Amino acid sequence: MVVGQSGLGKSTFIDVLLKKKLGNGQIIRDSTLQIQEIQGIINQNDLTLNIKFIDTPGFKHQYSLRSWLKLLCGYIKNQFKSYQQRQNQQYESKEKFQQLSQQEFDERVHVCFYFFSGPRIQTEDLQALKKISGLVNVIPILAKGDSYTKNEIIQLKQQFNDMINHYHIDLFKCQCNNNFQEKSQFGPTLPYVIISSVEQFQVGNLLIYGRKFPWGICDIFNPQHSDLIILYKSLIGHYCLELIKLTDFLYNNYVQKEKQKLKLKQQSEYWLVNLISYLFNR
Amino acid sequence: MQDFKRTKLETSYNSQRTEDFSIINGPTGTIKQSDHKFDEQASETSEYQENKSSSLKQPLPIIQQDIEKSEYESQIVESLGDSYPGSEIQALIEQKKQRDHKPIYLNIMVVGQSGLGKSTFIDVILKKKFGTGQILRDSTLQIQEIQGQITANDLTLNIKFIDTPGFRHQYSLRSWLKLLCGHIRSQFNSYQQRQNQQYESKEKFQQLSQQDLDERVHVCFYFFSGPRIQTEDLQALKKISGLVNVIPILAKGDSYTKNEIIQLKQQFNDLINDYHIDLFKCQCNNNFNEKSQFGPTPPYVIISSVEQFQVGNHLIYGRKFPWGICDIFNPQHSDLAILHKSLIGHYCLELIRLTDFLYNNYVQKEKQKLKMKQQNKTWLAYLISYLLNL
Repeated sequence: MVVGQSGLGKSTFIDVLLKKKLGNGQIIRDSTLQIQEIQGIINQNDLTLNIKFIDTPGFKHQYSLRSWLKLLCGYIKNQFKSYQQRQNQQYESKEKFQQLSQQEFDERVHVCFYFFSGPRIQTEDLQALKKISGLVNVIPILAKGDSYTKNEIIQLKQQFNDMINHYHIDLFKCQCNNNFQEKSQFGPTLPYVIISSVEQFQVGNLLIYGRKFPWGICDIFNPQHSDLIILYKSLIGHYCLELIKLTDFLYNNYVQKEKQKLKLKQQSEYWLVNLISYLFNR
Repeated sequence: MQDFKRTKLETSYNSQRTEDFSIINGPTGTIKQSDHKFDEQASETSEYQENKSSSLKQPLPIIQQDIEKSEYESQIVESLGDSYPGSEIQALIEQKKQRDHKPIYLNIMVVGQSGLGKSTFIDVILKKKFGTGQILRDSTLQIQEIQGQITANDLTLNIKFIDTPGFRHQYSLRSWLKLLCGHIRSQFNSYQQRQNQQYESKEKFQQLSQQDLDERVHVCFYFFSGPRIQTEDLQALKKISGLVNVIPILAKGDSYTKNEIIQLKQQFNDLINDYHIDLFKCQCNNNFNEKSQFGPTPPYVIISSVEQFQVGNHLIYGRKFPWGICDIFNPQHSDLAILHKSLIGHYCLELIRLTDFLYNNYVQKEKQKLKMKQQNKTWLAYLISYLLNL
């Protein structure tokens, strides 16, 4: 799932990862208005990886933060619910179990890329992060990486990490066993610095995705220019299974909370019934 | 950077006007801030230095260069007295030149959303170096006034920048606009008071009218950005353009490619026409035809940076990326050079003139408001007396 404020390059980022060309021919896209699902498949060596991107409308300041968060969390909870329903269906009868358990279809949201930007980290972003990180794994991304110099990026990453620790927000941290030591040029790897572009340029022999300025062309897959390549590698190579595992934990959390809510509801109903009967008897 | 040299002949003129300077620099050096970090920036008057690139060395098209000759002749006039034919005309020309050599005041207000590079822009124009040594500055919290002076060929241009806190979405647009419009109006009010004071007595008139101090806000640079023009910006523009001349500026120009800038400028101009917002349009007579690389000139595309880099033989202000260094004064990279030239060379007097019109508008509105208030009071008094009599 890809979330963040409006105009940060989320939809373009999705196009880049799915290697799509200039979608509608527009230079500056219109803003996304509804939640959209975009699918892609990676097939290699008998391994099939179905990636589904969930593109969300960006947060605009005219609308309240609360309604935007409600939209996002509502979607995540919906996916949890449909998964839960299918799980329950599975165990109804033996034939159904054999049928459905073979599919192992998982539509829960496993990871959320949170896009932020700007010379200063905004409190709305921190509030949103706090809320979302309780439902899904979050990987923070510093968007529009081409408008900051290297020193600014280092300072921004530092600020962001300080704020995260200060507010005790629980982001995704990988506990991998591999000797994965790719380090970013710009400081601590989280958050990843990203530049999104679907325009291609010919530079020498290579065809690169990038953004062309009068003073140079920036290459989005160049590790000196952005962290996109590190993110891509880590996501598919190392984080993938870990993310799915942790989603199980978060899903379980969600199910427990729902059960508690239901219990409370029943209890309060029970209490209300008791009160009314008591009043009647008096 | 060259220091502009003062010839010896100019010193006689300057000595006559030092008194004026001491009066001027006193009351206008006010600082309206409590944050001690900005102390050094806000209260000093910095000497403006001519830019290294020859394209900016444009002669200011106002003053004639007959200093040497007229001073000599004025000395002859004094010694020979009235018998010298045409001496009175010379004296008149002398006096007119003296009066024309009053300093020009240009007050520029810089507004826009938070984090767009407004304070850095002011530092660039006043050629200050890294103010606080920080890479990402803290946001401006209050309205601050920063002075600068350009002296050239007997012409003194006092530029005063008014740095405002950027609009943040946690706070309401209305309170931010109230802050800005309140500042503009208070400047109008103090100007009006001084004008009224002038006409109280003859001595005061002679004293004050010589200063020609003008603290009204003449022009407002409105910074906007983002892949899409926001409605808050349009609302703010509509409100501010009724009080002050507005020049729109597309900030953070280094994060857009050339095509994106062209499209953004087009979008902006379409929206301005749609909403009938009245921006500053210069009606100059000069053949000023500098065109921007990026399309129609308002809005100007600006990149702000106080970092300097050595590129070959030149020392440039710019921003360094792993894929290149962008030069903020290069007309291929941004419109900053064009803005600077037009502002000082061509728009300056036009802006001050139009401010007169807007100031007059403001005064008329205030009179009407006062009238309405008085009318309401009399109506209320009538009503009460009627009720009491009943």
